[in-house]
Amino acid sequence: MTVFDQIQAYGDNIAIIEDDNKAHTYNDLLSDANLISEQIPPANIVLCLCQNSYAAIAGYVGFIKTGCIPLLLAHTVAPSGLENILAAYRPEFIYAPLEAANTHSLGRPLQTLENYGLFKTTFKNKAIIHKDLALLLTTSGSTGSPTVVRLSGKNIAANAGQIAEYLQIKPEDRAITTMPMSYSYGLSIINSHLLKGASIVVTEAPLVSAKFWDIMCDMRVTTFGGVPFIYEMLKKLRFHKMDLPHLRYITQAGGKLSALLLKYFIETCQSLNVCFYTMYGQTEATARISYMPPEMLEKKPDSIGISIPNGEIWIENEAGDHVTNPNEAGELVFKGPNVSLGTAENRGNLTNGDENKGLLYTGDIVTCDTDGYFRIVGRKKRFLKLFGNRINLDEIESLLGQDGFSVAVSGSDAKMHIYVENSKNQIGSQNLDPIKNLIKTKTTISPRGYKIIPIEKIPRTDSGKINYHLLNSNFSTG
Amino acid sequence: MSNLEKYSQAFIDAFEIEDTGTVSKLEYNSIDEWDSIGHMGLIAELEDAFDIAMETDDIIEFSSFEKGKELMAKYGVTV
Repeated sequence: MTVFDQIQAYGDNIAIIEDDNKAHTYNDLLSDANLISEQIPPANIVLCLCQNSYAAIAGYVGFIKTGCIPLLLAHTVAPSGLENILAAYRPEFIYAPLEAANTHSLGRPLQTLENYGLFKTTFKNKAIIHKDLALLLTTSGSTGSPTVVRLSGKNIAANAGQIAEYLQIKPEDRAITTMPMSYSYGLSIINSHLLKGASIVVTEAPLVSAKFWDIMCDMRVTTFGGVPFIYEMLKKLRFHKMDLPHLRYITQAGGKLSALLLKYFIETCQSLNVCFYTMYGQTEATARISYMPPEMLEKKPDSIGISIPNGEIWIENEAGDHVTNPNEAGELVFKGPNVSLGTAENRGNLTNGDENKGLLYTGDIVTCDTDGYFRIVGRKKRFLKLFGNRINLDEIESLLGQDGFSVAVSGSDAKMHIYVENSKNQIGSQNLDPIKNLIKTKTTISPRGYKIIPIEKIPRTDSGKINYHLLNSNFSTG
Repeated sequence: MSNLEKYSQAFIDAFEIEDTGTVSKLEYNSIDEWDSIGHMGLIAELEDAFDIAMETDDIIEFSSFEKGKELMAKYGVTV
């Protein structure tokens, strides 16, 4: 079963519109998908360097339909990040923009589609990949970590269906790409709209460009999604003054909006007659776990809402007991057909089957009110969401530690703080450059996403562990 | 400080530029720092420096150092 089993029924409906106005029907999409995927035997891994383009989506659709397993990465991935992934997963094929072929010395393509080429690698693999595996997605697009989430065909189809149901996606809808397709949220918009025979406008134009807003109007876009920083930009661009008569609904996920932003968008969307959905999820659940029915948002603005259809949320305390008292905190546990098979660190892990059995411990600490609406009050694991991307703080520490820097990494979703030990006071502002360069070459974290703070000594607990509590209370000045 | 100096300083501060001689050549995406997030930081710096509030059309047309100079004129700022 795949999410795209039924889409040939949409025949001459428009599936994809490129930003130069070129439209592709579902028939076109399927025939191009086939052109690329017929080159590959099933159960091979195809590393896809994704742009928001027709060719990228057509390749992805083909791989999913024929049982090849795409591993999606942003086309902007740093060369060292790509090397890590290649070494860990030994993909038999690479599907990438042709210009990337030169950058990464991929050789001659077996097949091309528009600006994309399919390339054979020299990796040979013996171990058999688990039959349920359909797709691999990274959890932290930014750190170059080889950890990926293993998703089945059932996971993708289920989550696309759940999302399409609560958003009431119609064939007349037109979504525009605002996030990378390799990011689970961006991909979920593509999957759920194709499932319903709707159209997707693909563009790499940034939200802050005139081109993006021309496309929005000219193509009569009805919906888009965004992580919090996209909403910050929309407010700055005076979204409330925009003339977007075709816009039907917008979605927000990938972290929490500030109370001020939330209020602005609740009011603005009411006056523009646009439905505003705030949502919560994780790549480990394919994308989506909960959503807020728009009519309840004003009443409960700080809630992550209720379970998506065909799913169930409950709270467990540290003893593993179900929490039933309203407002008592515990870990959010989600059960549903969209819960991933598990994670992987390398090719060897791809023989594993379903380790989660439909159950996901999210690491988010929540409470539930008397109406059954959930609210996040904390996080069990040490990670941040910078511009919607999950950043594992321990990974950043070890990345910098490998190069000899003594650092402690902390901060908030607004900014990651890298505290670097400077006991002899020898670090001037220029000497922070090696750290900046390391972040730049090994991750895709924006320079705006972090701040380096030299401190005399990193505080530690008696057992020698970094004392983050003390660190945050002493140095959380900005 | 002249308007040109204030205008250049906004770029230097927004993108943490060290080689200040290159500022006048900057375009959107010509450096990693000038991405969509950096763009909003730049606009905020300019609005503070000149005490103006830019219109949506001008924010999204602001594609380079040179183009920005033209747009600033709309707000009575001659760079």
